[in-house]
Amino acid sequence: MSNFLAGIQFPDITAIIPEVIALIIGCLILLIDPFIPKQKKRLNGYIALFGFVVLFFVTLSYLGKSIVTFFDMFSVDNFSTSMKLFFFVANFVVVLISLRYLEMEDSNLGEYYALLMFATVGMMVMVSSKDLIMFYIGLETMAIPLYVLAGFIRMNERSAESALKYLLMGVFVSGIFLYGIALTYGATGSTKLVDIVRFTYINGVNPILFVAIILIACGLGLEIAMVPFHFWAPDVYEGAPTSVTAFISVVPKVAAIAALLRVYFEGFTFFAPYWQTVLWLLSALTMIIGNVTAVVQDNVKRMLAYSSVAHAGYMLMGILSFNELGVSSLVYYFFAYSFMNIGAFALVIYLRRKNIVGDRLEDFRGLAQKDPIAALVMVVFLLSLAGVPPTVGFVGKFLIFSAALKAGFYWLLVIAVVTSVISLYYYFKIARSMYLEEPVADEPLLQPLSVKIAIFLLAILTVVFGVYPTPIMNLADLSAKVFFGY
Amino acid sequence: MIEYAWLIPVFPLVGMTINGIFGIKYIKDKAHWVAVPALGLSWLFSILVFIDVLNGKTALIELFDWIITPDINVKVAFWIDQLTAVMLMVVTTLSFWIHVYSIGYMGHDPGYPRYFTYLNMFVFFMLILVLGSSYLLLFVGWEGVGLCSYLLIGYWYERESAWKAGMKAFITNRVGDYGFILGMFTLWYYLGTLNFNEVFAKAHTLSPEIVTIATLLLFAGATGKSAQIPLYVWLPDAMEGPTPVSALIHAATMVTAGVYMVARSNVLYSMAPLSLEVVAIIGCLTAFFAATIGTSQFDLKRVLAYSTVSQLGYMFFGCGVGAYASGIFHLMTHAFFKGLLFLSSGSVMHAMSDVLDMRLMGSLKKYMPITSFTFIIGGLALAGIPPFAGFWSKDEILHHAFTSGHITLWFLGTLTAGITAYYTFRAVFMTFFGRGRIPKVIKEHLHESPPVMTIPLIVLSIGAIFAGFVGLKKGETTYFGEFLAPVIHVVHHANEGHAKAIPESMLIALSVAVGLTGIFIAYIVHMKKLIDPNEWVKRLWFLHRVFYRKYWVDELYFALFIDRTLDLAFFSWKFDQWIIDGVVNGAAWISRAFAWITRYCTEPFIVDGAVNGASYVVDLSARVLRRVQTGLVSNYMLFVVAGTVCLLTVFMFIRLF
Amino acid sequence: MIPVNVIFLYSLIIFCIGLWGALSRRNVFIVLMGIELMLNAVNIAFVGFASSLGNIAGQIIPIFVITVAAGEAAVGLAIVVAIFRNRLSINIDSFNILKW
Repeated sequence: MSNFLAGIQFPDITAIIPEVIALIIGCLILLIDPFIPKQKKRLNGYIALFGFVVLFFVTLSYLGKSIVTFFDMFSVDNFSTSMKLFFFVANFVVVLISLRYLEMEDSNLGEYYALLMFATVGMMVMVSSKDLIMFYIGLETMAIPLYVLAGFIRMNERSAESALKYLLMGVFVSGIFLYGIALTYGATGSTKLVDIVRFTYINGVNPILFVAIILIACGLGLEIAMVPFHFWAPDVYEGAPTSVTAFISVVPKVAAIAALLRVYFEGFTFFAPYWQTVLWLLSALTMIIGNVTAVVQDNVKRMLAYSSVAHAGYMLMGILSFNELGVSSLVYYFFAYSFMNIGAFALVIYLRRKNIVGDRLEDFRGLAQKDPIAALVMVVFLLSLAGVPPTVGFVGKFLIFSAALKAGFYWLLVIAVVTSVISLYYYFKIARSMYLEEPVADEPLLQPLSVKIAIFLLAILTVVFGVYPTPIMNLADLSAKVFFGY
Repeated sequence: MIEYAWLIPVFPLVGMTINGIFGIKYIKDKAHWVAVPALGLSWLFSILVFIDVLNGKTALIELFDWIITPDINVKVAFWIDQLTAVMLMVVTTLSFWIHVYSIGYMGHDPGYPRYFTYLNMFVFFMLILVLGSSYLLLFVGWEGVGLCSYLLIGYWYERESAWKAGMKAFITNRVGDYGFILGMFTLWYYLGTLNFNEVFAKAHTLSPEIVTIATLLLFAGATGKSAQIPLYVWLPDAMEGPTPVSALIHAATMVTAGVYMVARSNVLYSMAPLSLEVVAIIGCLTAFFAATIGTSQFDLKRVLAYSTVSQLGYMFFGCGVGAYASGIFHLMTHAFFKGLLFLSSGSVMHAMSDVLDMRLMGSLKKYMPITSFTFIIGGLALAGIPPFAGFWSKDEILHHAFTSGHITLWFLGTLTAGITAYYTFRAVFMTFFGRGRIPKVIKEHLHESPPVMTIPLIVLSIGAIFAGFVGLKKGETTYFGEFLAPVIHVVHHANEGHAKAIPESMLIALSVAVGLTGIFIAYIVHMKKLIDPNEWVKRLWFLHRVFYRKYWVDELYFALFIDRTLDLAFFSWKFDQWIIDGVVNGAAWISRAFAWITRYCTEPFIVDGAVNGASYVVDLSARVLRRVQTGLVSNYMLFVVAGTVCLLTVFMFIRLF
Repeated sequence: MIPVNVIFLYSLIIFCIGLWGALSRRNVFIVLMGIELMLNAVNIAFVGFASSLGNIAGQIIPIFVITVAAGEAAVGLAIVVAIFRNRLSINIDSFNILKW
């Protein structure tokens, strides 16, 4: 027996401690939820909040460490660590805006937070894995809770419909993604990124892998919501509970982009010119279609959905630059995007009140008079989304554009710059509605405290890190060194 | 003192924050007690800094790191040299006095604290713009002032025209801004830096083509911000904002940002003769066309707005012929006299209950002696009559144009000076002199404005009289030119011969004569009525129509761009539906084909088979046919598949060939 | 020993049949079944490759895939039940409140 075990190198368990903690917290919430009386269900949320804080600090201690374990399938490096930190920051805010919202929707169940935790575990696995099958497992661990979350308000037919659409699209595309993995496996004999790189280094490029690269882009492209895999996004964003929309428009998208980045950078390194061209096309289409279609929307959630499609296009520019600046600008952009996009959705939640979802353009009418500070904060988010200085959105766009320029993608830069002009128009539709129209007399605003805290926090982060981006930039530079630090 | 220059933008920032947070609930109508002292402090510090710079000090104040990566190094830093000092003085002086004026002008407005918040925010961004030590920081200010301009134009948002004008201003500006961004990226790509001192130090390494492209792109930004052809359309509409805003943002400071940027980048522009030529031509043409439009407008503020566009054209014209110092000089004098004119017209508006049509004015001199006096001073300065400020700067620009060999442009510029004098005094005579045409309702409470408004008018008129004297000759150059010399990279033109051929005094005499002629024509037409303007309008109906309708540029742009954008948006919205229809029909076709195959391949079975089997297959075919209406999710899936297949096809194709 | 090409072709055919089913059927359950078929085609491919490469990893992957597919099916059915309560229909075409 000892002989048998001797050949096996035992994995380094310390690498997955944050994942395990997240799992435990998720299970804990599920376990104690039945014992919490209905009026005190918020306790679950507080546990989740506390959990994310703990996870943040635990993960912070991993910064600078570099562990590759589980037979080269799982890696803890600065990139994955900073991505995990990102998840905890974003999720913290998502929980904050969910607390009161779920009560308003009358579906304040503990499962919500547990599912959020499980989805987070999936994403953590995704950004850490160095094996295509691990990517798949992570993706599904993330996606399955998301389907449930999208349909969390069971009695609402819009919510249920969005869940079904999300599920069907997700499962369908995961089949295509898996086929890409199977092709890679057939061509190279392994699903590990290290082996794929080694194989292509020794044996040269294999035409089957060209197909695999596109199929993998397609599989991850669904969560990224890039054209032409974005069709689900507006429907699901509109129908899902707003807090869930805020979540799926930011965190899974970022996780999928990070995963795509790792697969392409570490697995298909030698195919760089090829996937750069593929992503060039997709990114251009995504920016154009996302921004142009958003112009005619009058549902704010839907408009923001198209806007988040467009932002996916900008983020793809970070991958296809394939340089150090690209990665660091991308990591910065993730943070920037999460602040401003969750912020914008938080404002929709802020407007949620009796019989009013708060996602129509009319709901924003005259907000400047009803609640000037909320309107001002929304303007900050919108300016940031449009990329007007001195906000995070501007710095992020500037960095990403510089990266693309450095890699020599002039025309993509021109497209990006031109589509940004268009984006300004629809963002300002909301601003105009808030400032330049008279308020409608209806239900008073509830102004829930937790949402207030969240939007202020996000607005402050949006401005502060726009004026002083150094802390995030340092983290971003560390992450970029993982791929380009020789 | 110069090391404390970073405090200058901090004061308005603090003022803005306090008013922004506490204004609406607590401070209310005392908002000026926050905003005005903040500006006063800024002004004071600017003066101190200016004195330091006069003594030959310059400084680079690095505050903190902004965007630092291996490839980009931009710090939040202020660069204070002679050019910055001049701009600081212009911005803070004008801002302070216009803030004071606003106390009176906006006194009864319900949004009083909001107004001062925006105004302070504007000053803050404007100061960032002039102090910033890199193109990126300049751009921050550039966008910031654009935003404030949007907010302030649409300040009275109840009026549809106001917010529409705001949108127009913002979107037009953004079009130019993207030129600016692309120009900035071009510089960064070839030089690897955006800091002014590094860019200018490394500029000689750039090839002429690149410099030309970069400078033209930057100039595209300037045409938006500084209202030049072809992007000047927003400025006249921007007059929907409160008049002090028009004075501060749309005459004295923000709109001159483009001129400042060009003068700041003079090292680059001097390396690109083609760009300079473009700047000069655009500037001169704008000056001319805007002046001609100005002759036909009846709205007092619109006359001044077109006059601003025209004068900005002069500034670019000056820069374009290589006389950057003269351009900046004109910027400075123009800030004083145009600010003065706008504030005076605001005072008129205040008295006239917001009536702005000059046809309903006249004989206002009786009722508003101070205002009319200051307006006339501003008018004389604008018309270029010595010794008022405008004369010195305009003359310097024309002189430089002449000596640098741009004879055609010089001629056009001089002609424009005459037209300027004409429309200015047309406005003066129609408003303050002659027979009163004021409606009775308004006449009853016609009054001079309170001291809080007239004192700024008097202060600015002092500026409008004396600001020009810094342009007095000192040897080869002027006092002002000598002061700016360290920052200006002088271009020496080959053909200095013209200067010898015609002495400068002749040129001066000529331009004064042209100006006086303009005033004289205005006098006989609008004062003495010796010539009936209406008859001339009839005779020159075509020209008048062209000028009055502003060359139909608005209509053209609307037809060309606005409509098309909406079409595009509408199209892409419809696109979904069309595609879905297309897919549905396509799916129907495929299904039919499939059914056809099913039927003909399975027919032997039907013939031979049992009734059950037959019904089953028919049922199947029917179901296949029914699949014509696929559900939406299936459509989405189909898109995914179609997208993937397209990608595969396209890239296999690229790969193979 | 079946040549790997045949297995691959077989899996491709199964995949396409699943794809067709998922795209063309209107009953949500059948759509889900079509998708399951796609996943199983992938499993076949994995196993086929594994046996031809003599690599054990490819034979383990289907176990993961089957597990995940089971999870997806469970959640999928639950969602279908939830939506059936609202709409009294499992026709995929009737779920189009959210559009354009």
